[in-house]
Amino acid sequence: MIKLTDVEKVYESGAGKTWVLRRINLEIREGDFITVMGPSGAGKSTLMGIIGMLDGAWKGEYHLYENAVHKLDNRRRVELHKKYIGFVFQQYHLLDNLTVAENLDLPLSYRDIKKSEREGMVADALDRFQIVGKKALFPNQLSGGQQQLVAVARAVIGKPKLILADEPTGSLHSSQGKMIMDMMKKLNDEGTTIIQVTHNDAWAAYGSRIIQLADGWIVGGETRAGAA
Amino acid sequence: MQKRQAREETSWGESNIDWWPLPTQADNVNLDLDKSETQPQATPMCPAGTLSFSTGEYSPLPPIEVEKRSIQSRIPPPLHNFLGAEPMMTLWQDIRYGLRMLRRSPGFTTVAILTLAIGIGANAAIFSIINRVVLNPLSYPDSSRLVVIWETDANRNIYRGTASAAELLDWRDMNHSFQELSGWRALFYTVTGNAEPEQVWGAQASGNFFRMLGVAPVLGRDFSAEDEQPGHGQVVILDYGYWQRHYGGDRSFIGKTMVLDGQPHVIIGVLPRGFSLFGRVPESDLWTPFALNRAQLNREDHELIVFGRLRKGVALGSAQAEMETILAQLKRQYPGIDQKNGVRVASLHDELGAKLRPALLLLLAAVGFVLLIACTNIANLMMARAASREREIAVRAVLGAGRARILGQLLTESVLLAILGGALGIGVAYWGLHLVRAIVPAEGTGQIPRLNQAGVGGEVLLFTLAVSLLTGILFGLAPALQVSRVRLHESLKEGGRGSTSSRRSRLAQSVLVVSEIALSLVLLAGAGLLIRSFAQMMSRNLGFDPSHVLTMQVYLPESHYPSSAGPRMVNLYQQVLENVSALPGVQSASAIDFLPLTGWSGFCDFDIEGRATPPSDERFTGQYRVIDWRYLRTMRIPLRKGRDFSAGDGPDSQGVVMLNETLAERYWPKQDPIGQRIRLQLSPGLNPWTPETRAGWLTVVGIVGDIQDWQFAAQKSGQLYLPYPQDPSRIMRLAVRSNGDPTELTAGVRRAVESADPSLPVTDVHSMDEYLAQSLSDQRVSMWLLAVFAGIATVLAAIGVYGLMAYGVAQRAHEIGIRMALGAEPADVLRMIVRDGMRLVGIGLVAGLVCSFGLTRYLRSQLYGVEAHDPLTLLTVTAGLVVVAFLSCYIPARRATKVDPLVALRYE
Repeated sequence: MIKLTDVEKVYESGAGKTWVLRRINLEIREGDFITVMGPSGAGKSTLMGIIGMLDGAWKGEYHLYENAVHKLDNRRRVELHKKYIGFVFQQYHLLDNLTVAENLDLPLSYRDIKKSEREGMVADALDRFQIVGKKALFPNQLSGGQQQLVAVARAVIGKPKLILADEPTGSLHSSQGKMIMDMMKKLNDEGTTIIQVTHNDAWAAYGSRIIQLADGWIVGGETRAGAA
Repeated sequence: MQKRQAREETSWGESNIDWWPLPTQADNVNLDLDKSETQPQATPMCPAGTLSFSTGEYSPLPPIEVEKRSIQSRIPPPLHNFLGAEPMMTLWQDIRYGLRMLRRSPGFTTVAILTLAIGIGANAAIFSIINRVVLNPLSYPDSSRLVVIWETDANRNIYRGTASAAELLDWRDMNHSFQELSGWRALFYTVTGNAEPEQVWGAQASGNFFRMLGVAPVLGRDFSAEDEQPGHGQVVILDYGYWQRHYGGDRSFIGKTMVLDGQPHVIIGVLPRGFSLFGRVPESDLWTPFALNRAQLNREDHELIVFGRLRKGVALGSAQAEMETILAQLKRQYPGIDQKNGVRVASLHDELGAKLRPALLLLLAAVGFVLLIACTNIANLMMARAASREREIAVRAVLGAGRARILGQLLTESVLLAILGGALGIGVAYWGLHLVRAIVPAEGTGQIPRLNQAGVGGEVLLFTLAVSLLTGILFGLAPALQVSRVRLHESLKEGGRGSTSSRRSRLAQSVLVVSEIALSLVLLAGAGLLIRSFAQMMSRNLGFDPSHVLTMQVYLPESHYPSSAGPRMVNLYQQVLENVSALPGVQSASAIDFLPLTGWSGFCDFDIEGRATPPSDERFTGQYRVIDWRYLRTMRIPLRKGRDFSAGDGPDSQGVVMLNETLAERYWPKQDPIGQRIRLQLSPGLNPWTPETRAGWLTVVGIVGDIQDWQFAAQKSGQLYLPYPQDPSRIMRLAVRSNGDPTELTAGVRRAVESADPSLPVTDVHSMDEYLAQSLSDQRVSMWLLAVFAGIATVLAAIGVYGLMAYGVAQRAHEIGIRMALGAEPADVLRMIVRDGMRLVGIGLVAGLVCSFGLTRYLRSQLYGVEAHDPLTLLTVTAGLVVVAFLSCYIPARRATKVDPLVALRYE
């Protein structure tokens, strides 16, 4: 599904070059649940940005299914992004001035989907994540766990093949974190490929494979036989 | 621990807390935040203070006393002694802090001061004109007692009619309200005795004229009562400028003689420098006294403007009532005078500024709008800045500052800003006055009286200070209220964005942008209407062709052409015109007494043969002009019916007259007036010589097209034309049509006049195009100034919209990042930002249109050929503003599409 070959990311400044990612070679199969771990500054979020096509300034090769992303212009990348990828962030990143239902509708509004169809999809997502009662509430009226649940619902509402979750439980206490990770696992079981960044070993255990990053290099990895 | 506190404090400003005594944590909390300024500079920057305190040499004062001492210590001793009171110390502290805050944001401060300088400066410039022209036009002592007494004729819409000398004498004898009554009239003098004869503007006034005004000559003496007596009036007082120009300021010329109209006059005095009765250019160069011979005066020569000075304690209303009583008595005493006439006593102060008052007040409203827009912009900037200061304010609140205290501090900053803007605005006002003087004609009919006396004096400085203070409060209040309402918890949270207050702030900013769009539209609508009106005037068919026509005035002084030599006058003009016609490049040459578009014309009543003379309020009346028989051809005025005058219409032939279409239609509706006869009711004394032909019945021989006259009056006037030989005038204007540039004929025409009579002065050399421009100058000045102000307003509004959008994009970078992470394409982001901006613009436009409908009706009196609610104008200016506003939204929106979602999401 994803193949990264010699992907590198560098910032140039007056003081010289700062390497953020070095020669990343990585293959991810459909249905994988990948955990990216590493200390701060290791390049985890940058790697997620490149895979999620939010970052276009890198070197190397990136294939997503049959698409050579590194050869595509920005417009085509945005199309791929919309088609295949959903994001979950540590800070939820819900829009404060939109209700829960409107937040869920947001990614759909950027796709070529009719309003009536979108309404049906939002209703399904509300039902599936059991947040129908919250649909008219604004984010600041929800707890952190509820907000992240909405963020996950928003990430999957467009039925992405790949979910990129950057420390999805980073701002949650353990019970809320477990609720979110259970949800992620369920999505993975249903066939969605998931790449998460976490510092938490327990949450890492939900994944089938761990990739260790340090100073921009992949320094290790392990494949787990089962998930928690 | 102390080191760490020092760094945190430094983040507030430039404090170096290392040398500041920190008695305890509690005391530290009560210290002022800007300690670097509070510590006396002489205090050594060493840990000694800290050391001393810690060793107990400082008394551990209670917190509030520490604060007081610190404040007192930074006020210079004299000021401290003077102020003393706590509020003044607080104000002093706020001013210092405010100045530092402004210094720290040079970009913001520069933009704000420049914007305010434009707004306040424009107001100061217009106020300085209004102050001199309308509010305070008179510089005479006790000028509130000076009045003008007009005769009125409501039926003919005459409210500023002149009086006769006989009436002046009657009024003097009969009134008890006036300390002085004095007559004045303008006239030309021909000055001879020098190398070339010179025609100059002069004035004749009663002997008490200058005494009435309260003006004394700077040199020599004033007129005396004896000078007013017949046979004693051969004296002259010189205008200061004339004295300088012609006599080089030589004082020895007092007592010497000069020749005016062939008569020697003794120079008895020189008026003060800058004296100007009406504040216009040219003013009278020479002043001579009336010789009032009661026995020779008649009541029909209405040629005087009567000025008066009220007795102390007499109200204008009382004088008006007395004058009405006097007029009633005179009507009974002299049944021959017009029984429908009235009298009006008006304040001289009001009369001098009356004509310009509406236009100047319109401009004051326009610059007021500009200032409001500038305030809105600054308020927007302050709002944006205030959002970033929420944390500072929250800390101050936590440290014990009440809301009023915080409001006071923020308002001090905004007032400081406004005062700095006002100071620079004075410079803008100077420049603006120069601009206005450049636009307004320096002389002639379109000038603004006393404009050259307008300046940035004490009253204007006071006005500027008041406007600055008001402006500071106006634009500072909303941001100050917003910030002072800060929610402490949210603002103090690490990274807290204060979303609630941000929403409130955005709402307030949106209201401000809507307001400035609305204000701009109103101004643009006003300017647009004036431009359309001006275009209508320019494109209007004048009824004659003013291009390639040179005009000049020729005056026949009585000394050379006494009334007894009437036919000689006729022959002289014939000779002049024949000479001019023979010049190369001349298509045709003619003459008229009152040129169109100059503001001058004569009126007369007339009888129609076979019809009864109507009562006085329904008399047959019209403007009348005397013309040479080649006039229609020269000015290309079409002859509609009958025949033109010919060389054969001389003083001894049958009296003839031509009418314009309006007059013909008015008095002979659906009839043919050709062949009808009229008789003019003109005073015989008005003309130097009246042939028998004009005194009798005049036959209507032709109907000519209407011409557009002075300042494009909406109502067409009925006009009569008489042939010059049958109604000669001492003053005639030559009209010469050339094949090319008419001004190239000037020298040739002068020579042609000289060859007929070398003693005749030629003055007022202008092309008809110049008169056309002058007649439109009021409208052009209003149009230009309003257009300039509307342009400034639009630019300010565009900056305002741009600022809000740019600030909004910066504020919403995080949101935009989220949206892009969720699949929004650049076009989606662009649409969103532009849509949000244009929504505000749309609301502003609707509000502006509503206001325009309400306000443009006040422009109605300034408009010609266009309705106050002209849809084309409103549509055009709205479309123009939409384009400008769209660009103001589009540029920040384009920038929004460049937001890097990764960066935006990382730095929430």
